[in-house]
Amino acid sequence: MNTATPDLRQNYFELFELPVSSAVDKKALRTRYMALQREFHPDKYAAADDQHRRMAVQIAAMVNEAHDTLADPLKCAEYCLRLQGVEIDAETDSSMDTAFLMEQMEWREKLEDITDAGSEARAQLSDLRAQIANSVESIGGETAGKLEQKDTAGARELIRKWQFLVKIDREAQAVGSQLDD
Amino acid sequence: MAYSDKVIDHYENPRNVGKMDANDENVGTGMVGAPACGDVMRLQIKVDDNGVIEDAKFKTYGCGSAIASSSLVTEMVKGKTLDEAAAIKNMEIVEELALPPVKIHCSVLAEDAIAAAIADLREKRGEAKAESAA
Repeated sequence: MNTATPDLRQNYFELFELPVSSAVDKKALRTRYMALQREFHPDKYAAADDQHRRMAVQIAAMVNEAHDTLADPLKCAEYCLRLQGVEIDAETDSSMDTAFLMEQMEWREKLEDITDAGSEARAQLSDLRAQIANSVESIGGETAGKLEQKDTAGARELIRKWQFLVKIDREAQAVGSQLDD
Repeated sequence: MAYSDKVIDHYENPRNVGKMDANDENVGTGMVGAPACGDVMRLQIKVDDNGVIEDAKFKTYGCGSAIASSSLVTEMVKGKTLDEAAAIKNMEIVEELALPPVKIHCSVLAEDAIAAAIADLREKRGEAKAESAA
């Protein structure tokens, strides 16, 4: 195969020729994504032998997976942490900062009330969503800082919190589209 | 994925949903969360003078299995001493609710919540260990 074949063992940043950082240059990511997609599109290998065709399919899958990871700020931060050798154990570790969980509980209660609040619902929902967006933004910035300093314990704690924020944001969005119906 | 009848029953008719005064010295509060699904669970227990759990309440924001697990656990702990309640294992919940492997973490969450509530209560009462009501 040609010399440009990416090594399947390289990490996503290497594949996209980007510096390892949770602050990804979106434009560079996009440009390189399109170039890699063109380069390894399975159609281009339709006439190649089995081995090369399989290789192209594997690479195309890795390119997509890498792009989806790097394009999503939370997934990207989680990936950066993994590159530093630390997992977030999202399923097995349920211990969280109690104050944070209480706030999450409060927000979910608010969201629950909005569902059947009627006329003021929209204003309340946009308040809550602004609050969530603020938290997401600050937690994203803080996480980038911790990852930069290789403070893996600090980054892990923040990323675990971030996951709750993404979840409630999705639920708030769903409530929003219900109100629009 | 299909939920078992028992999960659906607890989901549709959750037992003991509610809140108790977290400042009451006979009330222990456990707050836990699962980042993977963003579930948040609050479980509270209230003990009588003999250290037996006389009431339990929960509030869970999460999937059906998480709600069913916490609902079930509030039923299980009533009438138990703290030591007995602390001995509850998540696999009992898994078996009772017939949870599939991908939902086992919901039962772990409930087990962690009860453990956290007991720890909170013991700390509040200045006990290293609960007196066992023989």
